[in-house]
Amino acid sequence: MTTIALLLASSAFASAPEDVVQYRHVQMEIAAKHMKSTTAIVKGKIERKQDLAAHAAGLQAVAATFGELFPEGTGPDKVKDTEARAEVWSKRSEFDTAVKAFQDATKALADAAAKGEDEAIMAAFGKVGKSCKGCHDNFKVEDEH
Amino acid sequence: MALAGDPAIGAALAGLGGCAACHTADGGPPWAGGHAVETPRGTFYGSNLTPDPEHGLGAWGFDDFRRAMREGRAPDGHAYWPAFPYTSFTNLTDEDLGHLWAFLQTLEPVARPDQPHEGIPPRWQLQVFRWRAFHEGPEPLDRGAYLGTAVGHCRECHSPRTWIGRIRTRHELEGGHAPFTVAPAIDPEALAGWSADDLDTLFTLGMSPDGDFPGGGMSRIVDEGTAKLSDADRAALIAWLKGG
Repeated sequence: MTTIALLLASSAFASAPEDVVQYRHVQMEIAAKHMKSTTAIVKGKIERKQDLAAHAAGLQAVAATFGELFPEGTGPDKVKDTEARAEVWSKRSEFDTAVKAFQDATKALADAAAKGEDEAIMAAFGKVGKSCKGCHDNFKVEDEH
Repeated sequence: MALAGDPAIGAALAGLGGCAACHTADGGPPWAGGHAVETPRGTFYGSNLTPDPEHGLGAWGFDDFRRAMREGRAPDGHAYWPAFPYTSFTNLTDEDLGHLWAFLQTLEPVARPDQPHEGIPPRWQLQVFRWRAFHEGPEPLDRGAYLGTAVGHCRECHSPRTWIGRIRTRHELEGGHAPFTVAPAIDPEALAGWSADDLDTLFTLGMSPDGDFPGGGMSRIVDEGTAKLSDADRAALIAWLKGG
């Protein structure tokens, strides 16, 4: 009963901007971990080719809804801890195109993993990396460690 | 006199040097100039490097090119602002300058006039002599240091700068900060947690050890530069970054 009540509550009220930001951070971290594991496999550091399809599916799942995690009111003007740039909202159609590239690339990786062809996997993996970079280039603040 | 250069080698050197990043306007024709480098001492625009006789380097000879790269001077003798990192390029060998020159000759000429620099404070103009106090090369360097300092000039973005914009030489690679460049520290201490293999993954696939794909200027340096290096050169560059 409690669970149902909570679910209902979340659909009745918009999520707090801070929670949306935290959620999308976690989603990005999930994608990063899948990419990290995928790298270890494609670089031949570990013999786990049978896991590639699962990592690709995980990446696809993040990509599928990623654009929805940037609603109005969750930009750097409203929330402190976001690394998203204001351009996500001011150049929305370009951002949507970048998210679409992420979706297409992760689908290509899933297709290649299903077929199990090394060359296609490497090519698709490169495409996913490019889609990450392409979006970070324009829509994420630059790191300063 | 021009040395017999190989345009393919020149293209790889230009990729590692990231030349096109500053010498191409956002969305503009490649190598025709116009990218804005914004600094607190003015906005500098990369120049047209295509062989266009009027607006590019079409009227230049190899000696003009070598002088620009090594001494930071234009054919007419005037000093370039060091937003153009000749203080790093000064250590390029004649041979590599020949390859770069050969590569530049292969570009499509584009008749795009250079955009004048903007907002340089008059007081800063007086400081240019300090800028010009640099050790002119070429200085013999081991392969990794050569790739990282003469070609790649990592320190130009990854080092803190003084108020006039000179690199703080005792703090090279300790990270660039606003209002100049914003780039993480990459000195051996900062990279202590990075294995040589982590760096190789970044330099080939563009992925950092946390699974992130850094964007910004670096992704282009990876795609057009470090990823195209020979394995031996990449290993030398990594060894240099790790402190020898």
